[in-house]
Amino acid sequence: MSAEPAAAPSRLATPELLARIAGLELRARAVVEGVISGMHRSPHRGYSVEFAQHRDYTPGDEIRHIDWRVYGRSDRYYVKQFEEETNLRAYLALDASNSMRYGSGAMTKLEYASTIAAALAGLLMRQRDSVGLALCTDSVAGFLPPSATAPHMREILRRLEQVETAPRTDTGKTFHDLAERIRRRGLVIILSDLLDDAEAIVRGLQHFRHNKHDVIVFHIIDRYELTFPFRETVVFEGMEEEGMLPADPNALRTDYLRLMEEHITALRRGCREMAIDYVQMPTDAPLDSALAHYLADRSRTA
Amino acid sequence: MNGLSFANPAFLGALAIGALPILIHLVRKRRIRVVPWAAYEFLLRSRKRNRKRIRLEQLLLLTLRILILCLMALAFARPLIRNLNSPMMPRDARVHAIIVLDNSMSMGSRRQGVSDFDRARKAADAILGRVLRQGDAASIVLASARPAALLRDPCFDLQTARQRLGAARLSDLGTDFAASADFCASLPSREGLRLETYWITDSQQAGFAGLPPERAERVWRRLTDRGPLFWVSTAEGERENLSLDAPRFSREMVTPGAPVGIEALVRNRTRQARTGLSVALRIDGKPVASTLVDVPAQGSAPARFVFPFDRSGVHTGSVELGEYDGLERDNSAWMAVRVRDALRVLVVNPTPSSDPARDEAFTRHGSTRGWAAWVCCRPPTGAATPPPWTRPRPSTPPR
Repeated sequence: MSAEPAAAPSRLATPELLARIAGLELRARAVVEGVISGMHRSPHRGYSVEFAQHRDYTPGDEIRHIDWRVYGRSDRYYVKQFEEETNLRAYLALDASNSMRYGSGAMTKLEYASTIAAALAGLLMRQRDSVGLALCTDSVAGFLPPSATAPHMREILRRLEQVETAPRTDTGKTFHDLAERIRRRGLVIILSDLLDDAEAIVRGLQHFRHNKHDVIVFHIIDRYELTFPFRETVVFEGMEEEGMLPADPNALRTDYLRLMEEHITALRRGCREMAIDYVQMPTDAPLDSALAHYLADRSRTA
Repeated sequence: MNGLSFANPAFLGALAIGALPILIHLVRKRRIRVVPWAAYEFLLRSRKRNRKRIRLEQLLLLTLRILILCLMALAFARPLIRNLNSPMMPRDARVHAIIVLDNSMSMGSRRQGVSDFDRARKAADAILGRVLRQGDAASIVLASARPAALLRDPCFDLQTARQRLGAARLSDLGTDFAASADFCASLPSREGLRLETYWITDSQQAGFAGLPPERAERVWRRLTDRGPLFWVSTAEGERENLSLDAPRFSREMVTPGAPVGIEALVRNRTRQARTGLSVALRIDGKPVASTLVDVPAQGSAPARFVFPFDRSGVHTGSVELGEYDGLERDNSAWMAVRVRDALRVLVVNPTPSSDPARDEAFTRHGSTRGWAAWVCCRPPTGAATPPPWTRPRPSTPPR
C-alpha cells in the first residue's frame, strides 16, 4: 500500500461546517474529499490477507503477484493465488450507547463518530475493500457483514443515520462478542467514547488481537469531558440511567480530571502494549485528520 | 440582665439577614441547571472520594456567610458591654454613669441632615434609657473648652435625666478633653455605686491638644481609676471643614467715604487644596463684594475686600464662604463697625511756645464739622503733680 496521508487536513471538514450539512453521505463525502486531495498516489491496489496457493504464471497476470522466492528456488514463474480475491475486510464498530449522544459543541459524539465511520466506509469502498458495520451497546446490535457493493454502502449509511442508542453499555463484553463473530482476519475500527471500565475494554481489545485482527481505536471524546469547564453548581444527569448528581463542579474538578487522565492513560497503555493504534478524537477537531491517520496506518501495514 | 446592651437595638432586627445565604441556597437549588453528562461514573467516583471534604467546606462556607452578615448587623446595633467581671465590684453592683456630651462647636457638623450633636444626644438618651437600669444614677456633663455640668449630682431618676438632655445646647467653644476629664473626675459620687464614664464625642484631634502629654495622662488616669471609660464616637471618616476667622480692618477709625480694607482668613482643614473658593462680604445684610480665594491643604489664605462706608453710624456685616461644608457655624464671620462723622484729634506739643508762629501745635483742624482741642502742654516734671495735659483747656483757635 502506498497511500500517503494528507499533508494538512482540509479546513472544510471542521465539525462546525459539517454540522450544517444535512445528510450523512454528503458529510462523509466532504471528509473523504478533504483527505483524498492530500494524497500523492492512489491507494487503489489489490490487497489480500489469506494466501491460498501458487499457480503458473500466464501472460496477463500482474508481475507484482509473481512469487520471486519460488522463482529463485525453482527458476519458474509462479503467481501467488489468494483464497478470496477481494481486498481488505474492515469492520466498523460504532458505540451506540446513550453516552455517545452528549455534545457540547456543533456535533454530538455519535454524529462525529458516525461521520467518521461513513467517511471511512466510503474511502474503503473506493479501494474495493469490503466494509462491515457493528453497532455496540451492551451487546452487538445490527451486525452487517463486510461487503464492497454499492447497495451495501447505502445500507451502511442508512444504519449509521438511524442509529438507536441503548441506555446501557458494556463495552468490554461487546468487544468479546464482536471478536467471536468476526471469523476472518481483518481490520477492526472502533469508534467509541470508551466510558467504561478501562481494564474490561483492554481485555476486549486483546480478544481482537488474539484473533489476529488489526485494530484501530478512535476514542471519541467531547472537549467538555476533557476540561470540565463548569463553574456554577449544576445537577449532572447520567446519560445511561445512572441518576442525578447535584454538585459544585469547582469541588470535583481536580479529582474528576485526574480520574479521566488515569482512564485515558490506562487505555493508551493497553493499546500500546497490544500494538493497537489509539487515536484520541475530540469532537471539536477536524474530521479529516482522523482519516489521514487511518491512511497513514494503512500505508504502514501494506 | 447581663452586661450586654445595644446603642441601636433596631438593627438587631437585621440579624434576620443571617438567613439570607440559606434562602439564596434554597432559591438557587430550585433554579439549578440540569446537565446531561456522559462521564457520570467519574463524577460519581470523584464525589464519593470527596464527599466528606465537600460537605465540610460547604458547611464552613455557609456558616461563614451567615456569621459575616450577623456580625454586620451586630456592629450596626453598636453593642455596649459592661465590665461586670471587675474584681472590685460585684456583678449586680449599681452604676453611677457620667455621661459626657461633647457640645463643642465642631459637634454642629451635619451629615445627611443630622448634626453630630443630635447623634450624641440620641446616644446619651439610649444609654440612659437602655443601658442603665433601675437603681442606677447618672450625671451629665457638657464638654467643651469650658466644661459644665448639666446634671452634677448623681440623679437616680433616669427619666428626669433624659429630659434634662433636651436642655443641652451646642456651644461656640472649642474642645478640651483633658479639662473635661478633670471636671468629670471632680464630680461627686455615691458610696456603693460603681462609676462608669460614657464619653460621647466627635473625637476631634484638637480636643487632645490642650494639655502637655504628661499632665493629660495624669488627668485621664485620675478619671479612669474611678471606673471604666466608654468612648462613643459620632465621627465617621475624615470631615471636610472650611472656616473663616473674624474679619480685621485696615484701620480702626472708619469715616464715611474713606475706603477701609477688610480681611478675613479662610482656613482649610482638609487634605486637599481648594482653588477658586468664593467668599462674599455683606454689609447691613446686603451683599456688597465677593472674591475668589485659593487655599492650600491644611493651610489658610486671606480674603480681602475694600469697602467705603457711605454714612456714619454702627454697621453690621459678615464675611461668608460660598460653599457649604457640613459645619455651617464657622462658614461666616461677623463684625460690627462704628463709622464716625469725624475724628477727634488731640495734638500734644511737649515744647510749647507762646508764639503761635513758633509752635507746631497751633494748627488748624481740617474738619469743619468736628472739634479740636488746641493744647499747649509741657512734659511732666514730677510724679506727684499730674501732668498738665490731663487737664486740657479749651482755647480759641488763633485767627
